[in-house]
Order: sequence, then C-alpha cells, then structure tokens
Amino acid sequence: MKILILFLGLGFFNFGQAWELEAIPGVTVIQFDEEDYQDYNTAGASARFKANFYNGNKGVWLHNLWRGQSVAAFDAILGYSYRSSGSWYFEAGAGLAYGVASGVGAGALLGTGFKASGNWYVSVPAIIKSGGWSYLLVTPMIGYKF
Amino acid sequence: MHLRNLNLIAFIIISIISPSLYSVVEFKSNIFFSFATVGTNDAISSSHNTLLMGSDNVKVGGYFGHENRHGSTTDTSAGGAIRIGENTYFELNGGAFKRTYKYNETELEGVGVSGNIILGKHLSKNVGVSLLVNGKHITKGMDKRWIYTLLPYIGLRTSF
Repeated sequence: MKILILFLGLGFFNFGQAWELEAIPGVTVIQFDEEDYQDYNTAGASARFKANFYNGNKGVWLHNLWRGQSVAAFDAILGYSYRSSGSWYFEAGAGLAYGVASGVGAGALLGTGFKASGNWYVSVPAIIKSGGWSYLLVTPMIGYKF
Repeated sequence: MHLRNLNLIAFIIISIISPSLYSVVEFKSNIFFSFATVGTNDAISSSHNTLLMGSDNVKVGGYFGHENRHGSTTDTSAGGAIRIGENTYFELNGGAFKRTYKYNETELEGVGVSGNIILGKHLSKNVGVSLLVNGKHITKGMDKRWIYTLLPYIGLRTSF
C-alpha cells in the first residue's frame, strides 16, 4: 500500500507535465401539479470530473463524482494510467477509491476518446469501484487539454 | 378574399427571404448516454435530432427527441426549432411530447408539451457539444407534472 501511495505521489508531482480536465453535469427536477403529490417532488444533481496529469502517454488521473438528491455524496478515485497515442486513443489505469457513502476500495479506468478540435476532445471513460459500495459509471465526457 | 391576400403576402415574404434563408440544409444528431450503478441501476439513452434550413447564422426547421430511462420510460417529442449563431449558438425548440411507461403488467401513456433551450459549440465541421435544458409538462394520461433536465450532448452533423 505504501509503495502504491509513493508511486502515485511521484506521478502527481514529477510526471505531470500537462493536464486535462474532463467534465459532465446533470440535473433533474420533477414537480407534480396536484397538491396531494407534492411529497413526490424530487430534485437531483450530479457532476463528474476527471483530471489527468499526463506526461506523454502516462500519468496520474483523479476522478470525482458529486451527486446530490436529499443527501449530497462525494466519491473520488486517484490512479495511474496509460494512454495509446493518436487522435483516437484508448486508456487504462488503476488506483485507490474513497467515497463518503461508498467507503474505501480499489478503482479502475477503461476508456476511449477522440480529439475533436484544437484542445477539445470527447472521452468515454468507464470507471469501476470495487470494495465498499461498488459501482460502474459509463458516460461520455467533454475534455479540454490545458 | 382575406385568405387570398394572406397567401399572397406570405408568398411575397417567402420569395424575398428564400435565397438567403434556405442556402444551407443541416441534419444534426445529438446523443447522450449514461450507465451508472451507484445506489440503483440507472441507464439513460437519449437523442436529440434537428433538420434545419437557413443561413449561417439563422436556421429554422424541426426537431425530434427520443429518450429512454431504465428501459421502462420512453419519452418522444417533436416540434419546431430555431437556431441563432454558428460556431457558438443558441437554439430554441418547442413541440408536443409523449411518455410511455411499461413495467410488468403496467402500461401508461401521457401526453403534453416539451421545450428545449440549447447552448452549443461546434468544435469542427462535423462534431459539436451542447448543453440542453429540457422542460416537459405532462398534461393528460398520467399524473400531471413538470419535468426539467439539464444534460450535455455530443453532436454529429452534416450539411448540404
């Protein structure tokens, strides 16, 4: 475990020559007309962020999931990954996961994406958390390379 | 007589603006999908499609939307659309809406109205991203309700 943390730390501080941010928000609100159904009204929001600190085709990534419906929750995975070269790429990585509600576990990343224009790109990362409250997330994200 | 006059006026207006208004025909399909097992299984697939005609900066036409949630709820909507801007654009949609809900033996159908406010950016000639705020009102067939969603879409388009 200590070796893994050291490995991630070295990657974060030494290999992060360039960084990218991928994001996707989502909001849903439902309001019933009838007075008797007001208890069924819901409002939920979520946002996913993935920050990559890459040097060439490898580096550290940090994935955040924020979601709020009645109770706000936060999940994060910090990992190290490799990415293939080219405008259409594939990437894979692994790391440590922590969630306020979902607990501690291991995280994995399998993803693909393509460069759209200039610094903009579109990615489809599959995020997997194993241990504690496990989950799988697959949603396209919009990315920008700084 | 009045109807003939209106037809004549409409014909003259369309004749005047048609060379610039219908210089570009564009078909665009915006997609969104999500699969998440955080808490409950949540699968969403959605497409928003437009066929627009007009100049570079002003286009009018129609839209068709289709959304499926959890395999049980399907929303379809269709209506008119107007877009202002090109690389960065603002679009308004308005039309009719139908929701079908199927689960085991239960089958419901509701109808109402739907509208979209869209802010978008074309990253290249064929690829773009947009932020779509959708409002729907079920007025008949199911418990009446307003439904608002905000989701980003990835768009692919072709024009001729």
